[in-house]
Amino acid sequence: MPEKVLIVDDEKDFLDSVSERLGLRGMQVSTSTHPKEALKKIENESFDAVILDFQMPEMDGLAVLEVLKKKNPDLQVILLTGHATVERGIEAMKLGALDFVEKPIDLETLTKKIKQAKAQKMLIVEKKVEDRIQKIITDKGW
Amino acid sequence: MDYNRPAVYQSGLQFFGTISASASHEIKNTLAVISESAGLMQDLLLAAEHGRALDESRLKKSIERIQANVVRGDGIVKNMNAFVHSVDRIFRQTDVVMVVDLIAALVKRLLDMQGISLKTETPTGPAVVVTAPFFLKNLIWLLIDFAIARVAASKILCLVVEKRGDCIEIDLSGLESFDELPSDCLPTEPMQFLVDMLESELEIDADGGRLMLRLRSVSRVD
Repeated sequence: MPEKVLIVDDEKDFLDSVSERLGLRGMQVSTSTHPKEALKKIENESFDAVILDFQMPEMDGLAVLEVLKKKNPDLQVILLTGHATVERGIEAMKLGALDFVEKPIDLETLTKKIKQAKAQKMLIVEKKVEDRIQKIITDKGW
Repeated sequence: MDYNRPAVYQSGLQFFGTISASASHEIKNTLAVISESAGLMQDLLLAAEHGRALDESRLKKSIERIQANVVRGDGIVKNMNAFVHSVDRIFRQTDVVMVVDLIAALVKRLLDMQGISLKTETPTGPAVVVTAPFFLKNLIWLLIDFAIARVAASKILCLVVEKRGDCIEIDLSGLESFDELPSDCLPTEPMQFLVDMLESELEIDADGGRLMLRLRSVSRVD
């Protein structure tokens, strides 16, 4: 199944180019230029990875990340930054980001990280299913 | 004149840092678009080499994006260049219209991040004074920075330059009323130092949400 990705960045030209390129690599890509619009999309759809720009109007990437992780702790988020400093990386990881990527991006690196995000998400889903089945078995006295 | 006051240093350095950081971020974004557009062209050509029909409209769009962002990047660098050269000489003949236009361009992204628009109105023709252009820009930025935190619901700030007799006035409006602030909060020490240094006057209309800087006739050169 193709990876399902949401990219959130206020630079429309950048969004259009990246989403086309990821689409050519077989991914299903949604885009959003505004953080609040993106939060609504995430409420209605499930994504394997959300790619968030660090700097956006009205609500920056870290603020969005915080809201996302509170609502959906299993969501895999990759941050995009113009300047990948150690401090930013630590900030992002503390809030639960999977990783961060510096702009201009290397698309192959981003693609790998998206696949990694999907794998991570599947591990969580599988573990939840396993736990649920274990509980059912235990409850039924098997 | 004592340029070693901590208020001036800190304010000036912070201003320089804020503007430089914003510009470098914008340039990074521009480069990112150029990089992705070039990458997309590469992807399309690679697909064509493997037998897929070349999508000329997508190729054309990528070329247009690259060209537009080269122009955009060049604009950012030009503005930064004008900004950094404003410290070449402390005092010199300065067109206030150009100062305001430059500041508006430099702070646009910072204001966009807050969802705020800055509209400027300037007279036709230059408004020339002998002043310290870097410190004038610094002072205008301090006023805008103050306004950002107190912008009215419309989220539109207006910066108007007017020639009035022997003076040049720079009027910043669009703030909500701030008359609840203690009177000694404004002007701040860096603002007051710069107002004095530039031989100017700062009029504060707290109720009306306006700040007006008047560059005095003693600085004016015809």
